[in-house]
Amino acid sequence: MSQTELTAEQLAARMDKLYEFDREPVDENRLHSNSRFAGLLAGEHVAATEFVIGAFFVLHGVTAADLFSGLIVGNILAVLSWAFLCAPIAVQTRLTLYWYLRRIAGPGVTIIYNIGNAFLFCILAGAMISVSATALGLAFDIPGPQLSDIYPNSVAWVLLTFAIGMAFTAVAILGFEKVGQFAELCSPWIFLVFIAGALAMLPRLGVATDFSNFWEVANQKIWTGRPSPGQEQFHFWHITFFAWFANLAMHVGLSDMALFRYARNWKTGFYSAFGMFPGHFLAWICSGIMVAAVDREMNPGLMAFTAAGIAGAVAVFIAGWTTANPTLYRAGLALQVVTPNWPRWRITLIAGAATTIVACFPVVFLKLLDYVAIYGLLLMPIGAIVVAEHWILPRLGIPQFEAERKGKQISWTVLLVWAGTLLFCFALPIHLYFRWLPGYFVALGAYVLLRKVRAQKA
Amino acid sequence: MKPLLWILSIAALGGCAASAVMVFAGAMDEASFKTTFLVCSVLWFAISSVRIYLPAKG
Repeated sequence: MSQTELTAEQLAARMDKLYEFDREPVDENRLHSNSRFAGLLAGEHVAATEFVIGAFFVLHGVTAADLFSGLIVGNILAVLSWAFLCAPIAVQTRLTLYWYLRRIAGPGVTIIYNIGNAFLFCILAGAMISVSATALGLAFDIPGPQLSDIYPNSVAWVLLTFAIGMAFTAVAILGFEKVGQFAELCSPWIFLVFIAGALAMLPRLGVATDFSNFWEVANQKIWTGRPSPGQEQFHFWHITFFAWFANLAMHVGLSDMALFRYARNWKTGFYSAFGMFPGHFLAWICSGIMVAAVDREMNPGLMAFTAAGIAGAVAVFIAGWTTANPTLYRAGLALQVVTPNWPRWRITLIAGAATTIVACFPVVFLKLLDYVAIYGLLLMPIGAIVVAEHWILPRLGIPQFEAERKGKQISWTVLLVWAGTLLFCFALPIHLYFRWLPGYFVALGAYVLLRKVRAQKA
Repeated sequence: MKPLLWILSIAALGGCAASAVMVFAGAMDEASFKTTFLVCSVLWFAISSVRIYLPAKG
């Protein structure tokens, strides 16, 4: 066998080594307080994506009533998903999804999951580079892309995204810890930029200082119920489902087990409200107000610059950077496993270069809402499988952790349910945003059924 | 030292918030708001960076 060829066992061993530091369940004395969770979650959900998502709701012609009610219901559903699905499993197992899935599905499936996740991370980081480029482009008078653009609209835009992408990649190669600290430092300020920018734009839209006509202005000038040309009209259910699935991979998909395994009890899941309501309610409303004040021009840099001046444009740039940087770092880490002993810097460089090319295409951030839906949808079946394995199989008397007990590299049952659920979801004749929910129950049912049949045969 | 830096950084953030409230209330024009917001933001970053990266005593 040549040096570049790796067996599944070798790949699994390398993957395990990378995640070795969190292999053991968390000790009781390392658990975090609820106030620490409140702070962590509040910082995590105010990112560059918020500048784009809230603005797109305006462009999709949602009414003010549908927006506010949809965001309240959707965010409550998201908090309940953390509290009743993710946090209880995390607290009971004290493991990350990686190690728990390894017991259920075998190391081969965790490799597929991680590599898939790495590609999804790269696309997300690409979108964040584009968002930062809209801010830096203002300084060089480089026009941002138009709403219908798929390809780069100028050489200057390509050069700008390349420069930013390479700079972000260089920082990701140099390390993660300092940028992580910097991101924590920035999050309250970035949140303030959302609030301040919206407040500053309200008089321009005609809102009185006592807020007496806010609802009237909101309906007539911001969330008017009329979509921009080429944009699909959104209603209450679109907003509800979007707010619910915006972090689907984290709550229903269970990847936030990595965080909640440090919780003292499952009720800490409710603290996700500290992230949802400032980030996915207030910040989205504020970015909607800002885009309405620039005549619905979908350019996060311009929106923030018009609203809060240079500080606003800097906030968009930094928000893009602090979101893209850990994403690039994690993508590099996940891809490192399948390379022939390459150092982390080299694979991060390649992931960064690919991400930078992606970032040149404005369609990535102009279709961010659909991308967020697809991202959650792709990883959701794994969450359903883990829930079935953790709660349903023991109640039916079906033995758990088949892959671990039998020393399997890959659980074909898990792969079949995962792929089958995705095929089912993509074939469903309903809006993309609603497909994951029936898909979740299909994955849950199919996995239990297949495991029951296998258990009876055994 | 760190408690003082905490207070100063919160004050800088408070300055950002206050300038936004003032422009909304009509007590400040947009240009002055943007300048005040920028100055307070720079102060927030400078003070917070020192606070975070300052080595622990002893």
